[in-house]
Amino acid sequence: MRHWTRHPLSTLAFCSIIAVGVAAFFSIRLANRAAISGFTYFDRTLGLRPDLVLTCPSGQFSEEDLYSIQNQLDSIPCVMAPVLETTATDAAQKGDSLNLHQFLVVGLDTFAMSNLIYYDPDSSNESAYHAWKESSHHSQGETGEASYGVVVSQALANKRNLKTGDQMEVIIDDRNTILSILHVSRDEVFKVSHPSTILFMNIVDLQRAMQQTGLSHRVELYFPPGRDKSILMDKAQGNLENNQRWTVDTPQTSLNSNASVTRAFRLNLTILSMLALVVGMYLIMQGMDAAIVRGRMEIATLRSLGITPGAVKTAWLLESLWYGLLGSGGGLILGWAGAQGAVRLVASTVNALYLQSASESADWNHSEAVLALSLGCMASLAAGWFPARESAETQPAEIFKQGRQGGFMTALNKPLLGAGIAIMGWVAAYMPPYPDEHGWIPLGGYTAAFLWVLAATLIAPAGLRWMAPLLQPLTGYHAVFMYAFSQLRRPTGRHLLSVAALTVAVGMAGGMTFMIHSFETTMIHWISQSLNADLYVASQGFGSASSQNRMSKATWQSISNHTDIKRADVGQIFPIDYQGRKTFLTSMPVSNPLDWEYALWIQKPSSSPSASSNTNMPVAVVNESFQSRFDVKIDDLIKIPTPKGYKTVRIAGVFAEYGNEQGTVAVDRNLVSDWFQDERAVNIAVYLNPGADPEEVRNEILSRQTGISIRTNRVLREEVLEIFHQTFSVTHVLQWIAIAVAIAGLTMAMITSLVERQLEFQVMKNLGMTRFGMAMATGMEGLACAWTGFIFGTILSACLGWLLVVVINKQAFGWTLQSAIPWKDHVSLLVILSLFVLASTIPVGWWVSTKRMHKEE
Amino acid sequence: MTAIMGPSGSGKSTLLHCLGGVDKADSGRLFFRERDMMQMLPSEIAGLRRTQIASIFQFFYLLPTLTVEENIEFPLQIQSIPQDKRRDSVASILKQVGMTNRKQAFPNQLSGGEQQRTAIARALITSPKVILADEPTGNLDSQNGRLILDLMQNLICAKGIALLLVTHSQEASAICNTTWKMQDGNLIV
Repeated sequence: MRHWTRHPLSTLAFCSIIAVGVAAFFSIRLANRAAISGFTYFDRTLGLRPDLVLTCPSGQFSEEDLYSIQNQLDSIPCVMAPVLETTATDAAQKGDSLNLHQFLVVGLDTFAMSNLIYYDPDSSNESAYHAWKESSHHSQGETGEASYGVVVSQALANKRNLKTGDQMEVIIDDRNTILSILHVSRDEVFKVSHPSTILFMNIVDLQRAMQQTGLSHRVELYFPPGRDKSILMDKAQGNLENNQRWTVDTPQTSLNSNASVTRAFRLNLTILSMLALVVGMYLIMQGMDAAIVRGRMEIATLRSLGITPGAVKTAWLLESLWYGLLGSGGGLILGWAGAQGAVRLVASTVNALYLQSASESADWNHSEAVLALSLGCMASLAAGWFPARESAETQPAEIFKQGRQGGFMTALNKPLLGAGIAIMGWVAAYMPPYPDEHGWIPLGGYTAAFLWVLAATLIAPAGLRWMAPLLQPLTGYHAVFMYAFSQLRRPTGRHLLSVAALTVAVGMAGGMTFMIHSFETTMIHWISQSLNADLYVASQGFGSASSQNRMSKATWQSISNHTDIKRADVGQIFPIDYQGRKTFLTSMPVSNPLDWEYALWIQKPSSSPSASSNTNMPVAVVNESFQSRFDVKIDDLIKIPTPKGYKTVRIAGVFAEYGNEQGTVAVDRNLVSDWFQDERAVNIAVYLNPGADPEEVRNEILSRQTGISIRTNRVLREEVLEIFHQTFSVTHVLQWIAIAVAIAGLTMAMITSLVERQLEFQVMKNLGMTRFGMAMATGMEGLACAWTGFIFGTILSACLGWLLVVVINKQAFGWTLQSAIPWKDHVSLLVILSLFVLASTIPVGWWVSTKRMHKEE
Repeated sequence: MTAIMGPSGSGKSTLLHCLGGVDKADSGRLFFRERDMMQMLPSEIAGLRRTQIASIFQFFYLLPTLTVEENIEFPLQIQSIPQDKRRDSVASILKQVGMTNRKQAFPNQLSGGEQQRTAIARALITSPKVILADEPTGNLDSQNGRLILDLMQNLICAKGIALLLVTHSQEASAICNTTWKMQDGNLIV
């Protein structure tokens, strides 16, 4: 306890380091959790939770399917409730951004809506229910738009000040639609807080609004409560299983399936969020080592008085644990606050790349808090373990002899052991990925990353000694250089650890930058190859993987017939389940993949089909993610689920696409439309006649067509890159946190080291060195450490970057990326690092130089 | 060569620190060559320490990360003296203190006597006008203490440098021409 009170600043520093690490981890975990559980099944229903959920591999149930399900259920007493979902754009939102906020519209049948009267003390729900059931629902608005009844959440009503009877305008597909509020669902009735982004409609109304009669996306089964419920459920499951047209899940497994879609993204983010904690561990270790070195005489005295080594070790470990507890506690508060900001960044990425998320805020979660707290305490204990062991095992006489020299961290200098571990990492990098039910986990890649970070920790400190002869020529020029660089010859444990921490921070942050830069370079190349149309038309609000807005056939035909348009490629996309995993079926604008001029081929289709291939069979091309996820190759035959049954196609080629990691199989659009009986388009790529002005054509189409947005080629490219940058915004924040922690660590190391070397400063003062000279010497010393860390961090970042681009990314997402070294970012990092180090170490040197000599004697 | 003797706590070291400009006196005035040191800027005092005043300490206070040669060269580097001139001066002084064969050693590789010889060389290298020595033999055995006193007597006298020696030792004060006593902060001349 005495140490904590006597050194409040260092205690605060240790706790802050742990707090920052725990906060980064906790905020990302909460944000991830919020983003993937944005819409749970509780949110998607009004009241009762379904007992079983039937989904269709083709993503769509027809009325015929519903009759089949009913037949299979035979006489089992249960309610079958089909559900239809789509997205709607808020018509009040202005702008053509690709990432407009969307509503999730859930079409429920009469049974699900009957829950409105489940708890209804003032009978308002009952009136709404009867209004829903009995009204014709569908009417024409004053300006001719379709109008439907809708139930909105309490959150939305509060946010927009809406009440029963009010109207709101949305865009469903490409049509402006008026929604008349029948009822505001009350959170206390259903014991669930519906988010502000969900709307409930009658399924028949929604089918009308989407012009898709008889369509439903899933079927929910509700069984009567009672002792027989589980027997009935088992029986129903038994009857419904073994039918290829649908799969039977519990709501939880369906939710898990959504979570599995984003698993690789979340896993990578979680690992990255631990970066600050890892760097923080080095600093705690350094701080503990400094404290032990400082208290050596005291330890030796205690040992000579008969205190056992175990008791000494326990005392130091308790101190570490205390720092861990205090820091983690602060980290949880910081992390929870940070999560409120992080959730928006993570949710927007999940929205853009994966699925619709309703998350607007992250809720406190006890299990995540316990995990983060444990991690913080474990990191602190692990960091304190080695210094504590060193303090306990050194004999008292030896401690007296060592005085303030050394410290266990001087033993960190093990370049040969580091080289051996690095080689082990190299072997691990070439290990095949570990297969699980959702895909591949790049275990070898993660192991290699861990081993390389460890190796860098052991090699980089030796770099200080290697730097000394390199800087030797400079020492002749001035006493400032002489003193500063002489410290590298005989570095203290604190120097070694701060270099190790900086190496790890720069290495991991640089590795991520390497990956992001490679990704960006590849994306730009892909965009320049693939996005060549003059205009891109989509329904308003469409622009992300989660958006379900489509353009009607009438709309895209009308646009295609414009006199200035030479060609219009219609794009369609349908989410499907292939081999039990979610993927996408998209349309190819041509029947022969060889004619697809703007595809960026990884494996180009052969102009002469192989002898084994069936030339009459429809051909498909797949993207890399599909190829790696489902382990398919050219000429393989795959069965695609469609509402018309399974269709077999032959894989003819593999193309590059970086829009999703779930995989895409592309087939001729005419076939896709026929299989799904759906002519609606997600977008159309418009090629203009020579001489036509894209802006003029755009404005002309928009003047007569509502509910769509049109982007010129330049705007679309800019927006795609904007979304790309937004995707990595969390990564950038985490990188800078790690770098900041490492710089703080170096500053802390310098302060501790300089305070211990105060006497040397007094000697230099005696020899006539000015305060400015001493401050500059400190700055140079800090700079030399920072640059050593930077050089080794750069080597580590190249290795980790390669690992991320070639191994982890390829195995986790299936994307081939073109390696590109981010020179500019790296030079910027060096400049920023140097400036921060100078700004933090020079004042420390100045401060120490002002100390009076007699006080130190 | 003047010795100042007195019991512990009498203010000998404080006086030396004030004279060396590394501490400020609470009252009184302090002149160096008719210039009031109390009125000097820190940079001017640093200038005095670079060229006019040198110090030798009981605990040697060599910079631990510099070799013997570099420790001796260091004051010249602070004065920005060209490298070739520095080398000549260092070689010469190393020879005088008998440390040529130990010039690449670090302080922790030296004996107490060797460390003090290095400290004397460091003090002499700038050819100061005054050397302030605070118990230079206080941390040495009698044989090494005798050697150091001989060295100081020979080198400092030979160069005509004024020496102000703070000591408890009668043997050390014997090398000085004058001995003053200090008691309770007062100098008894």
